[in-house]
Amino acid sequence: MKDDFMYSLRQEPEQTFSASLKKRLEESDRQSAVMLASGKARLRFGFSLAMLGLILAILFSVSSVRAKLRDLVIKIGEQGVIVSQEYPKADQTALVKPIAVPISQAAENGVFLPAPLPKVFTLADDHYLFYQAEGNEKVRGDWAEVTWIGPNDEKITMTVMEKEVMVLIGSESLKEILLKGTHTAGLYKGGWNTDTQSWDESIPVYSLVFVKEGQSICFTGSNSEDLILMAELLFP
Amino acid sequence: MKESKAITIPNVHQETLDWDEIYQSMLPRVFNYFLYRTGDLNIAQDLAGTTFERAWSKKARYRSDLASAQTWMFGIARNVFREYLRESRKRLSSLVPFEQGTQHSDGFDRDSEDTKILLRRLIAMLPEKDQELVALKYGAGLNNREIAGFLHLTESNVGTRLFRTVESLRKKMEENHER
Repeated sequence: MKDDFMYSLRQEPEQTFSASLKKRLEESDRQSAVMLASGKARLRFGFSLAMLGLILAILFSVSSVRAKLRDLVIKIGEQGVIVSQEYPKADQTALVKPIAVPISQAAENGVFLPAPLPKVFTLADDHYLFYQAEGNEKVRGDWAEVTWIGPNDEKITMTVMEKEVMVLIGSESLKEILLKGTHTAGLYKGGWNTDTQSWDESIPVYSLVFVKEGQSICFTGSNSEDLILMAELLFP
Repeated sequence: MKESKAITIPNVHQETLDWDEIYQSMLPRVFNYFLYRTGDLNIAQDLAGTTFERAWSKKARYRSDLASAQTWMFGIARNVFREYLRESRKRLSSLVPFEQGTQHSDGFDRDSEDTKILLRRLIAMLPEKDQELVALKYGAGLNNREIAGFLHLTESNVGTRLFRTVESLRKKMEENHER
């Protein structure tokens, strides 16, 4: 096959581009090395801003004390949601260090995973993260986080709260949907923006919240359809 | 934001690879894959940059016993391109100042920018799967077996499709030159 002409569009990357990218990658390597060496926390989510918002939301969903008069309290099935215009105050947040637990022990610890999961979703790690709130009065109950990598390399995280908790959001664009046609769940987009100190619906992250057997469960990710698909797998 | 999360360092399989070598060998191929897919130099650079940054952030998870670095990198590159395509749905792009070519044996005047522009446009008009085939073969420099693995086709199917696609492009190029 005479196909020499097909190679005619090839060209070498510009040297400035190549050098600049290499520099960025080396810098990224250095930062990773420092973080690993210090054992400090690092957010592993592609959309850290939104995830920070989510974590805050969950930590703040401690009790109805948080709900102010001007806040709107909504019930989506059994899941309570506080809709507030007020950014969560920093002094009400808590530091909770997770421990890594082998994924094989998830079910016996009350963390039930969606199954059977389509092959395009793979677990991000061979463990899940368990956050123990014991002794921390700002947090109500323990929770666990499991992360998958979706078909487009995006991350999907399932947060399972030990108890039913209320979720604090700043959006009124909360949609009520039915999982498998019977189980009520709330779907919303965005998160608390730490820079603007306000709710930001432009953050490209969806959250799907619902209560199942006494646990509040929240799926987050960039594709709402994937979240619904995974959540429905929790219901036989 | 006072709240923070301490995450235990995952127990991952550590590889001892020459990442400099991987960078040097893969950058031109990943870049050209995107150049063939988009026809735009700047976009190709952006997407290649995104691919490498994403790959580098996942280096600790790379398992050479599961996939070659090439397969791993192009898996990421194809995901990056799918994301880009969803956002932009670009097909035909702006003209690109391609480097001057040299005379080859297949009869086309490779010195002509017009020829390259025509070829790029003809490629952009191909069905999506054929565009991907062409980019993987002539941009990324993969062989038919490697392409078959990515596209879930048989090796012979890849060969047949490529043959038809290239012949079709050649014919259209010739027709254009005769005008």
